[in-house]
Amino acid sequence: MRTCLILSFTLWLACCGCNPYHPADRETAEQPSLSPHPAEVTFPCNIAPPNFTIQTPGERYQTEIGIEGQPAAFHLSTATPTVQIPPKKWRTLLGQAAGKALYFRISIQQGHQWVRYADIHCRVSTHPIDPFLTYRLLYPGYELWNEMGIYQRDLTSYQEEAIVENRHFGHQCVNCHSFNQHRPDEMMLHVRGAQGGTLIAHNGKVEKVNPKAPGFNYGPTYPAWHPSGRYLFFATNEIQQFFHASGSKPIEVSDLGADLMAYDVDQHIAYTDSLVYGDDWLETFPACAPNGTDLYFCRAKGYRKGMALDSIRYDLCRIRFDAQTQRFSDLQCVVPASKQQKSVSFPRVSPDGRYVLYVLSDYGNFSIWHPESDLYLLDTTTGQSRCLTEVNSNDVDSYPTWSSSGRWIVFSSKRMDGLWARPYIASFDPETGKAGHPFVLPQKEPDFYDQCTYTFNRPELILSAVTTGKTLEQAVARPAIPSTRPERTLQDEQ
Amino acid sequence: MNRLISYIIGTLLAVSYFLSYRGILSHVIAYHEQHHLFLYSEAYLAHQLETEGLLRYLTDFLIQFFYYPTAGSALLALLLTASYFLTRRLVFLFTGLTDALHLSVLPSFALFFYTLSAEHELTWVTGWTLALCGLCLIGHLLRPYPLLQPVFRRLHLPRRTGWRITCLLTVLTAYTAGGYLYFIHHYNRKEGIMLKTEQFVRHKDWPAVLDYTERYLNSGKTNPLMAYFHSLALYHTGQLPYRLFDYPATLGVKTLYLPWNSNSRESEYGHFVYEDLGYLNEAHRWEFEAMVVWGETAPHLLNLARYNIANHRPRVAQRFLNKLKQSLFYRSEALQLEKQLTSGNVEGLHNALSAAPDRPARFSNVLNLGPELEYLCDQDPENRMAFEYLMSYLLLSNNIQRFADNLPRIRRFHYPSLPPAYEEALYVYRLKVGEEAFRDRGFRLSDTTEARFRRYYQLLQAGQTAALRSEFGNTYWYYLHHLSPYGNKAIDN
Repeated sequence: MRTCLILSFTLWLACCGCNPYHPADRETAEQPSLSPHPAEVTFPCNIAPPNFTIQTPGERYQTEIGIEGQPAAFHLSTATPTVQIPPKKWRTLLGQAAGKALYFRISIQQGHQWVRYADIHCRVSTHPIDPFLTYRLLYPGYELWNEMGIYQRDLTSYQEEAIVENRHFGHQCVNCHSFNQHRPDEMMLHVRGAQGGTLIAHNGKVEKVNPKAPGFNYGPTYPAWHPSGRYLFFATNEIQQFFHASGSKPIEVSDLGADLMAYDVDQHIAYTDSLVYGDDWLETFPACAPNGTDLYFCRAKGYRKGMALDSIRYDLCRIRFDAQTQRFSDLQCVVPASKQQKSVSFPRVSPDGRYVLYVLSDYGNFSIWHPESDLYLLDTTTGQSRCLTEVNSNDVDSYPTWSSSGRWIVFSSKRMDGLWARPYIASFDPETGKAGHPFVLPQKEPDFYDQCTYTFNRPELILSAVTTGKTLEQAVARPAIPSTRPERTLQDEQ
Repeated sequence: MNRLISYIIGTLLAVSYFLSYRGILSHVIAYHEQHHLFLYSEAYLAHQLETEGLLRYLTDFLIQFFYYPTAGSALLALLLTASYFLTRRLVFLFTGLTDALHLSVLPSFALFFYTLSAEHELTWVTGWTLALCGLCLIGHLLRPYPLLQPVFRRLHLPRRTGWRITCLLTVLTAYTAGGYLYFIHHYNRKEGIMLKTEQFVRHKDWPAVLDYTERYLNSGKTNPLMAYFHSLALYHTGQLPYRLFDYPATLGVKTLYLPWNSNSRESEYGHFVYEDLGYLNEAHRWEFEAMVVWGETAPHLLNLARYNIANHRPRVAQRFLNKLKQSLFYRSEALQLEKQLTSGNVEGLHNALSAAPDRPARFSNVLNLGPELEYLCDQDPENRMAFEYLMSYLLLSNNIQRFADNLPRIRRFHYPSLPPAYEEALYVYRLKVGEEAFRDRGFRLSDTTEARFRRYYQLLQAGQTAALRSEFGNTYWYYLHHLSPYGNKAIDN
């Protein structure tokens, strides 16, 4: 009896553990339908397994993954179309495949036959991506909010943890998280609500400040760090929401007034200049180049009452900032998009300063709600811009950001459904200025994005995990440190 | 004997609770069901445990059965009755004595009274019941626990049977009377009427909406939500032009709609009028705001799916349906809607702006319905609701000139005769522009209206306010001269 039991157990183990490989009864040149589809993608050598669902119908599924020209490193046999790649096996494979091509070979049992589909090819880069991606998760709503938080996702696994969650401080709004050169210890975010203010982690301490100095028209919104960490550039905006009466665009977010300022993080002094301040122009979305001198931003003609919102168009401009004297000078328009009836938003400068990624849409600056939004790339050495067709889609492609190496870009795209922004990752070659085919942030459950009703807002890559989350949350309750103006008056600056 | 009495009490409690939840408190059951959605998914479990906790998860699990009000009422009655029996058992376990005075009724009562307000979370009920279960379990393991015995011995009934019965009857009468009085004093009738009205609005039971709103308005109170629901019911029962001024419209144009005030409470209700008008982008906006505030509950998810299907955004609708498909009771409805995903047609939904041009961009006026109604009438001239709401809006805003300008749109609809309020407004218009200009525009007034105005004017001149209110309180003239929050003069434009 005992022998019989042992034999049965062994047989059961063998059946369960071996997952025998079924050779194909026939082959087809078609590719199977997968979601998300890894075809032609270049993966970082440290990315979590890109799990997927096989959408081609069948009774059983077999997935082989291996390096091009070699036998499969491993195969997975499943009764369901969900393919979850074992992380350890994937990591080992990535270790061997860096710089090489991978294949995904799918066989599907249809009736009594196993049909092998055409291989899906992708590549593994030798360059790792920064290991953490931060984003704000919230409903893609309009004016009201409830639960939201800023989270960090370990890109080498599926681990996601909160940096701050607004349920810990009265459901106030948190937004505009920003990091200085991908450093998790140099960051800022805004809190809106009863305890509103700007939280800044800098030089090992966390402060709550109010960068709006007396005399400034508007409060600070969109930030950008000066590489020294001493200054934060802010767009200061009067923002209003408008709702489309019909059609597929639900909302327009527009500036009715906007200026730029530089905020001294150490001294709590706010600087500006007539070149970037006043009613004649709307200035927004600052982005500082790594040299600390060139400040890119978007600029449109000032809003006047009755002006049609779809006539407001922004150019990409650049101005010099002198960190010693805190002076702005030498304003130039580098992409005169408004002349082509287009509008620039969300410029981001590559870590080497050579490229500026930006978004082009038909009008306005809140391109995340514009299905026609596409990513463009400006080569500052030639002054030439080109549409980044290799990553764009028919729906919203917006809010790009760079990795610290400049080898990866992450951007928000609504290509899946048109409403929820998802982070897409694409490789980038600084030599050629070409990007790779993008892939959506991998999730443990391949159907994650079919169920997730939160939008991923402001994806930003960082070099390691933020550890100051609790301190940031505690700082919300503190009074905000007020800002002052420099000796020179606003009139001098104007 | 004592055990038998406890069974009788328990049965009485269960029946009373059940009948209350099926009757006067039926809105409580519906409210909870409509504000919680339990999903059978790992992601939901993980999210709930992390953000709300296990108790809320278990409570939501129970609340899902409120989908069937009878089952929900029975379940809640059962929990409250269980609280009585468990407390009784607990007393026994910790004292070794029976609860002769039936004090165990009190926690059950307290929980029941706590549920009187729909705003109160039912986590207390499940939490308390679970805590009692846990304590009973501990009691079984540790019994007997003698410390509380002396206290309860003092509460023990006398030995003589006559006295025992008297004591018992007294105590039970006190519980019943106390409970009844507490209920009467703490039952929120206003909340009950409002929530029941809302349920009827959701089910499009317009005669019931009219009945409930009029019950409320007849008490002399004014409430924007009830006025809004009343106007909807009037329209849907074909009475809006005829009965708009039946109740003092002191809210002015806000009798017709809820202006967007970023009010999280109101966000749940604003979409009704826009949905019925066929203004789907605005209905979607209100519903999305409501979902952000109130969470992913079935009414919001269903409506968002419907609006997105009708607005030709099937992939967005699919996301909302994916959620609903994980629920027990809304799955079939979601599957039904899923079949219509690509068709763009949803039963009962009309997209009045489907042919409206995208360029130049036109933005909704979220504070003022007037311009939107005019836009709807322009884009969808057969939209009778938009027309009647526009006319009502212009009357309520004293805008006689624009009322007269827009009145010719009436020719697209069949009215047996011009509604009296419209004639009354035209009379005022004639006074403003003169007979000739009036006639030139093709308007004509009935002899009845002429005679009625003479009578109205006579009473007005005589200062007979009571008679004026009694005879003409439901006329446009009375509204314009005495009630309008925009003054007693017609606005030129």
